[in-house]
Amino acid sequence: MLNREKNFKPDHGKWICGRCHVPLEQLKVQALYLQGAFDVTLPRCPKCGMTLVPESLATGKMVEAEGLLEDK
Amino acid sequence: MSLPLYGTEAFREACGETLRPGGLELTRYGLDLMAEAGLAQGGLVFDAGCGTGASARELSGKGFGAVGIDWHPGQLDAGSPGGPFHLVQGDFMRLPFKDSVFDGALAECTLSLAPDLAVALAGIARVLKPGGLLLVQDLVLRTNRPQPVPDAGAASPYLARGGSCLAGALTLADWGLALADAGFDVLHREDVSHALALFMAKLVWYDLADELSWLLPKSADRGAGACAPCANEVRKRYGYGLFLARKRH
Repeated sequence: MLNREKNFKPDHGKWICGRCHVPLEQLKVQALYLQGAFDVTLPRCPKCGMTLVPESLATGKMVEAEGLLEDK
Repeated sequence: MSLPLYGTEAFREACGETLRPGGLELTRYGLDLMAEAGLAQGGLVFDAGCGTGASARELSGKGFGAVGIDWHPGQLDAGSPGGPFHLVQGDFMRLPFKDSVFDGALAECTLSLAPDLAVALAGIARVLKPGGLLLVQDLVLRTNRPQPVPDAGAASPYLARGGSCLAGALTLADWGLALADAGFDVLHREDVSHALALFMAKLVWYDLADELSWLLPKSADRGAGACAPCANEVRKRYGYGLFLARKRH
């Protein structure tokens, strides 16, 4: 089963941008790492673009992908 | 019969229209190397195992005469139509071309699929002019890594010769020897394993790596979360190499 639409919501709670004081929205972004571009939908401030990377993503799939890109 | 690895939906999703790691970016890099080695614009170049014809289009766009050959009609049909280049349905083990007509050839992750590498290289050498250039990108075995698990080979059609490029992977040194035996001088060899790493990372990111679960030992946990170890197995055992070789006069 293909899963091109990666949508990661906050692990818990409702998040508000500390700078713009508006709720984060689920928006498409590209995560870039070592020449790799990975499409993903993440909580993002619609005004300033600040993006939240949920802990579950940072310590899960993101670590897995980064580990593959780092030649060890 | 099972689909070859490149025929799986996951592989197409991860690789895009080129059906191989590196994409057109690596093709362009290789073409620059060929130009530096003397391939003149307007030269006639063929792509052995052209898939959907992406590289033939790239060649044509750069001013080369381009011919692509692929045995699988589905691959050719999947390509975007049109363009001043030719796509031919045929077997690159028996190239339907006259002797010494091409200035250059591409074999991008396809020689490892050949049932007999020596025969494939001899055929390419036959249709190249003396001094003609061959660009090869393909899977390499990392000699300092464990070889594929025999059980996995028995269980999977992908590790049978011709089932996937993994089955035809050679060490960098053995690729060089095969080219030399076929009458080529290797001008350039380069480890471009970052292309394979990026491909594997995309498989994991998009939850597609379970397509490769056959690489895991049978006793391994293939449940949820098994995709990353799978991809790591491939990543550690295999790399990706690029070679530029010239047919001897």
